[in-house]
Amino acid sequence: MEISDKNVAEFAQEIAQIPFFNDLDPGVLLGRVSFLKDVDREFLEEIAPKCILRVFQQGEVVCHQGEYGNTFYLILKGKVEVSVRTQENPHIALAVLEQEDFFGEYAPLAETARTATVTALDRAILIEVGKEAFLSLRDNYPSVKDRIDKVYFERILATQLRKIGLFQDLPNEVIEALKDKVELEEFDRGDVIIKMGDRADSLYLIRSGFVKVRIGEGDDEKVFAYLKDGSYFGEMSLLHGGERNADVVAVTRIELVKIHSEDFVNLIEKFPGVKERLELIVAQREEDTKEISEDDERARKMKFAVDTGLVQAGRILLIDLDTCLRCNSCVEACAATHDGFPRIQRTGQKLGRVLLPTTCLHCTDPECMLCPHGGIYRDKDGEIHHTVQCIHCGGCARRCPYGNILIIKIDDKKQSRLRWPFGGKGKVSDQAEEAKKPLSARQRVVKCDMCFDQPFIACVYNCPVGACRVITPEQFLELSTE
Amino acid sequence: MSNGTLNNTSNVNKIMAAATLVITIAVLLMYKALPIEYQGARTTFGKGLGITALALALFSMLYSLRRIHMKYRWGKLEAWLQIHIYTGLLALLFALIHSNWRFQPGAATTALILLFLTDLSGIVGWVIYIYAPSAMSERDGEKYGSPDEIYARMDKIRQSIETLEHRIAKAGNSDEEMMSEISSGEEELKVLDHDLKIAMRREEMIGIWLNVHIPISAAFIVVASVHGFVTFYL
Repeated sequence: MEISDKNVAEFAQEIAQIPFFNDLDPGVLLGRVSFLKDVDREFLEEIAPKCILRVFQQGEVVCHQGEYGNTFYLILKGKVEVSVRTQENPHIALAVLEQEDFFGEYAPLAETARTATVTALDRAILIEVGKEAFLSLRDNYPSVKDRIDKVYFERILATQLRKIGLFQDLPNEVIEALKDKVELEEFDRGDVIIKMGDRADSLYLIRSGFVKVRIGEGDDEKVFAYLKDGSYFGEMSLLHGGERNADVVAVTRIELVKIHSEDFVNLIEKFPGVKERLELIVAQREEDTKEISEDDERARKMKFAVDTGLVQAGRILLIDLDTCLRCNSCVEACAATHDGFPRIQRTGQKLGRVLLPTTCLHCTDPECMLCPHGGIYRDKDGEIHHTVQCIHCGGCARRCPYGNILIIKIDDKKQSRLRWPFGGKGKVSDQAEEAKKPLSARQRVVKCDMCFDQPFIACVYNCPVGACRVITPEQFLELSTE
Repeated sequence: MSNGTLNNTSNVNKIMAAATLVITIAVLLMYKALPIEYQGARTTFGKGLGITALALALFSMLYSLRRIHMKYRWGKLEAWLQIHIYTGLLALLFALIHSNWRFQPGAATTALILLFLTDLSGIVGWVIYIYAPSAMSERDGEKYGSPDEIYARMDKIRQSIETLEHRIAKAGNSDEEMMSEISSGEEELKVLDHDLKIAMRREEMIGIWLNVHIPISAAFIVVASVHGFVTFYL
């Protein structure tokens, strides 16, 4: 029988039609996988429909680094290679996994992107376990949990150490030895990870999330840099000795790999190449810091980009207020493209001449996705969308820390139509009457996803003067807002 | 977005400006080069110019159609606006040469005057489009904020009023503090409603010239069509 992509329950049903195997059921079949040998047959039968048999030919990629996925894989047959790419090196082989091994545990556990690419080295037969089944397996069976967590922790460290360009030339055994000495730490949004003036005792590698490097607090805060996964901080004080020269604060929930100063010092003594690379980077960072401290506008933009979450976005939608005609074409085009419900408003954060309308940032750590109805999901490119299961309760809108999800009353959509150029006034005078209706009655929850399913971005395409634009966060930091 | 600025002169603008300049020079040179007997409105050259002027004006008006139909892939509206502006200007040039600089009372001169006024109001609009936005932007004192911003503030206040009313209804008695919060919220709503009307009026001011531009251009098309009909069929 040819194995093709089908769930284990269906597969068992097919096999059971062969007389010799007629006592086989999905539970028995899954139970033969050694990883699942301690799991009850009833439980396995329950999760079998959520486990899919997958066949990959030699060279075929099972999952790509950076794509979002939430499934876990068990290898039934064949070999796969786990590799990562970095800016410096497009292919770093981390491990070869064989029959009885597993992979893909990080994405469903941390709800983040795949951290490595997995490629079949020969014909590989895998069981793909859905997120719900995987989490319930892990929660219900301590032996499974222990095994997953142990491997998860080891792999995180190995992958992270390998991904940092600083350590690219280190021999495997050094990485392995270092792996046993480092710690994995987690911080919540707003937590101060490094305090200015503290004694420098460690180097931090960012596993996931964002941090900002700042001096001062509140209105006096000056943001010098933001760093994301794959980067590191704390190196300046370690290299020069002495105290920390800036605060480092978590912008999102963040996972860090902490290397203690003595281990780090030992390492750079043994491997002068690491020290040389680090000195170059420190010199560059010092120069950047000096530039920003002399350039108030850039510092203000940096703080704005961090505070508004722009640094998390792949692309930014902006309106240039010095060009915008206030004609509302953007909103009308948005409404025309999305069933009459505009997903943007000409309101939002402003910096000088730049207005950032309400646009989803597809956050690293999206609070909106805590939806009990399964009404919102992240696709494999990391973009977040509402699903047909959305009941428009508005929970996601309330949870979004940036206010980028809108709740539109069904009647509101009339206001956005034909206000200009034909002199319509919208339904301004009816606002008070609208307010008397119960809040939950007839509303639509929408968010701008930059028309991901359209051939063009409606607001940009329909702006008569090009005031509505899409740029990257890097371009935002370079542009003049004055 | 080059050189880190938001200032943008689109390629369509540059292409249209260059094409308009080239066409203007070419037509004027051609007109100058023609013997006098071929320069009149009733000559083949003159009629050709007249028909082209009307065609350009009609093509220019397609912008309004594009402006209304936003969900179709008919090209960027920004490019359409540039085409609208330059074809409108070219239409006037062609019409002027078509007239052979002779303006006698009748449909032809009326059409020419209407086209001139259309272009004039268009140029006024163009200037408004260039200078009004920066004057309205916050740095120059946008006191009220955009209508959307005011809507958003009003929505928040309404939601908190609803929550308070819901709490009062649930408790079965009226708490004085809550009642005063509701009444101050309602007061604020009145002020915002007033601000909203002003903000909307301010935004509509930017497009007020359209109330002149659109009717005159429609009148031009009617009169120019009458002129064409009379020329060819009567």
